[in-house]
Amino acid sequence: MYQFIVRRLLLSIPTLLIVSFLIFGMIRLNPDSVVAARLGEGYTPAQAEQIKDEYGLNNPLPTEYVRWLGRVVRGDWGKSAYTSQSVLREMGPKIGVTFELAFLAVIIAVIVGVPIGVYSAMRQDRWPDYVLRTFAIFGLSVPGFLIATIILAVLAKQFGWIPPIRYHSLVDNPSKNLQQMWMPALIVSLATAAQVMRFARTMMLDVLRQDYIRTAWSKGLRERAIVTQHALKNAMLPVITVIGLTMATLIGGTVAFEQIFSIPGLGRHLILAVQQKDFAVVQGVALFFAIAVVTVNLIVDVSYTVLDPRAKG
Amino acid sequence: MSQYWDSYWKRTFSRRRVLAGSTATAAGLAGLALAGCGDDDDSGSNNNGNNNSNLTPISATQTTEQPVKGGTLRSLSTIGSIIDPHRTNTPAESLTVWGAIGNTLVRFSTQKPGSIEGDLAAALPEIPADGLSLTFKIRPEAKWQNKAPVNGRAVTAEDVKLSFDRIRDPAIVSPRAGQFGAIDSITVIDPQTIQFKMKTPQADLLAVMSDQYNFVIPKEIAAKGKDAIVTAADAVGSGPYELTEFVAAQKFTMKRRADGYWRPNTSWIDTFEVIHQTDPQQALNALRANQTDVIGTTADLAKTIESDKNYVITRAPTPTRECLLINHTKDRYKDPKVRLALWRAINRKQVYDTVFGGLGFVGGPMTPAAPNWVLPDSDLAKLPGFGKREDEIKEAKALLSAAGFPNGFEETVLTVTAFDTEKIHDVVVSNLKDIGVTVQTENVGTDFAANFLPREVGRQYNLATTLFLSGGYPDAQLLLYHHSDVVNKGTRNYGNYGNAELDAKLEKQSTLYDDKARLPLVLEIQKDIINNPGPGWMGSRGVLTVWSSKVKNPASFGFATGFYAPEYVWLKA
Repeated sequence: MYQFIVRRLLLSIPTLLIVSFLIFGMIRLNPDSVVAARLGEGYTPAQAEQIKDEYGLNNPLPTEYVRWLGRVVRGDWGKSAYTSQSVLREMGPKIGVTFELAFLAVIIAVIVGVPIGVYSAMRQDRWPDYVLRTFAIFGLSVPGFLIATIILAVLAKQFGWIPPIRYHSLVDNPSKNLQQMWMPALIVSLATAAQVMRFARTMMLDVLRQDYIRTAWSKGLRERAIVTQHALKNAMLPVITVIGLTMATLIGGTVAFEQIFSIPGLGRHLILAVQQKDFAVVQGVALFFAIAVVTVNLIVDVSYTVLDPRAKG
Repeated sequence: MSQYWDSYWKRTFSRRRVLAGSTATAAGLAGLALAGCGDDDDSGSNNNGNNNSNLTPISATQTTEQPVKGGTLRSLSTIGSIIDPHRTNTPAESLTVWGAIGNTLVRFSTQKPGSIEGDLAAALPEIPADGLSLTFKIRPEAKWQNKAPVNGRAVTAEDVKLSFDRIRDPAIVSPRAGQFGAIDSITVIDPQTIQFKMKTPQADLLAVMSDQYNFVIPKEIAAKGKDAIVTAADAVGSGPYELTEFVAAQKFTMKRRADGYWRPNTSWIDTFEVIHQTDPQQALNALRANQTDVIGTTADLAKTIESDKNYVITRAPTPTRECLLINHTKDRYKDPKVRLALWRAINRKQVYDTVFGGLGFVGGPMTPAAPNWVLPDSDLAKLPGFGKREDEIKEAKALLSAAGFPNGFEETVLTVTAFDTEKIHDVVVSNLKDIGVTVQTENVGTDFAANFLPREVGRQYNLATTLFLSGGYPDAQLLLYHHSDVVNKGTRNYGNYGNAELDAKLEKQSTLYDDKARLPLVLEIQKDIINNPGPGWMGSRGVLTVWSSKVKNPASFGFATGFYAPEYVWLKA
């Protein structure tokens, strides 16, 4: 197991290096845009040079990249050009917000998606299956931000109510925090729940066709016992992978919802940094997303290996 | 006061009626609009486009009711990550925060839109005949907030000096440093007297000083240099409110200063809260859910609540100017007949009707947001480009024919998908087609700063549909864009327009501190530019702001749209 983890960690290093270099290089493609973003139009050539020096835009890209990488490894992710604050320090509270939203969404998706997927499989090709699959397709095909926009507009116009827009952290005020977070989490979870539901259904159907399940039926076991004691564990192994990967996707995929629901998460932080051409912040947030995705993948792989040792090989 | 604003706007925009709008300006407090203009008697046969409102005009929101203290004014706005007024390039921090917590040396008057009055200065400065110095007296009653490091001490000339020195300091990299290039030195005469010595007279200096970014800060903070104002604790002003909370890209909270504001009978509201939200639909949702009192909005959304008595909608032009930029270094555009043909071809009314749903103000070389300086509509109507559409097309075709293009010509026009420029471009393309000019579009994408601006600045275009934003005063609107010295004076003259005669007039008006003496020349210059056009100016888009009807006196200024006057706002219980 230890060797497996080390091997996976080593494999993730090239991924992170490639991602970080791409991010670092792409946002430096047009140095003039940085100057314009900082100074508007009326800047002098001297000011432009000053800004370029500040951002290291006058140095060769590889040199700057290696310097930046060295600092990152030492824990110095740079400072925001606007606030002069440490990138990591600024990201800190926002990471928690985004994780909370993604985590709540995944929890809801699992709570909703797994039972429905199992139930749908047990009623294959009967009307409950058709109805539930229709909902799943709806959840997958209609963008969540559109659903959110419509729901909020209707709630505001018809009932004069929307979730609170003033953010309170989970630590400071759990009640107010959840009042704001439950609805975006629910809407974010729709597509994920649909995905989990469909995958759970497919896996369940696959398992239900196995010989040992047929044996269980022939022994006269109840449906509930067959599902919970024999089928579910084996069917859920691949579902865990989907849930894990979904979590990774959600960490970077809640941007639109953070905007719509006024949630001060990492996605909104990234958008502002991109608009302001705040290189250090863009690099930091993007690198964090990359690390989060790699880490979640690693956790999924490890947990999968624990649950099914055959996957180790 | 209500009558004043009503009559002011009727007078100013008698033929310049606000049209229904559609542009998205989720500006919140930063987009505070002026009190709307009243309806008028304009039947408008001219083509200036200011005569076809389909949004019910709403009267000014000023009231003569006795203000009461108390309450929290909640608003939504775009909140960035920097609260240093000298370094920011966006309005939320400068207008919303510093407009409430700070003061400028002089300011635009709320009582006489477009004119300037002392803010920290007790009065307008003494200026000798040569215009080479401005001497200000600081109000003795002006006090800093009771916070470290100033702890309520008096504002002094030294504070003013260090504030302007900081803006001008190259190490600060202030976007406004260039506005003060004509200042030679700043001298503290005594604690209450300060003198600005000029290299050359700069008639717009007072307007520049009044602008939304040039706040005076304590000398102790100014002396800290570039990173002097990073947190809420650093944002110490002399204004009526204190910044108590600032979370970048999330929220501001300001509370009325506990030690009392030095300007009596002002600052009524207890607390200002500003939350970051940029989406107009979500902002409207929040307004309907009573989670905010003020939002910026679009004309389409405004129409959904315009009949609701719980809200008041105010409208105003911005100093942004839409433009068909002409590159005069290209042979074809050296011929004034061709340029005039293009100028006449632009259907300005169609631009604002189509792209901005009518929320716009047709204009010439100066923005309609500068009421004291802009050509009256009666004059505009007599000039090329503002007549009946069919006449304009006929004249334009004749001009092209005389220039050797009887069948028009083909041209590539640069544009960008940003700030609705691509939509303006579509209208302009159809306009040019009306006179036989066939356009090949070159759209550089969505990044204005990265892909479009460098092409403009580098003169790498023939024609370009674009927009410009600068202060609503003559140098920023005329000299900057039309002087042929593109290195030192006409630094935004990206089309290399200009001639010696116009340069002389531009330079002359730039030195006239007396507005009465300056105005005729400014108007003459505008006429000159229209008759011998450079950039194809179209006018200015507007902003719409929706207020809860409990908000009273949300006045702002004619010059700098969105400039907020929190001293006078109050909430009716």
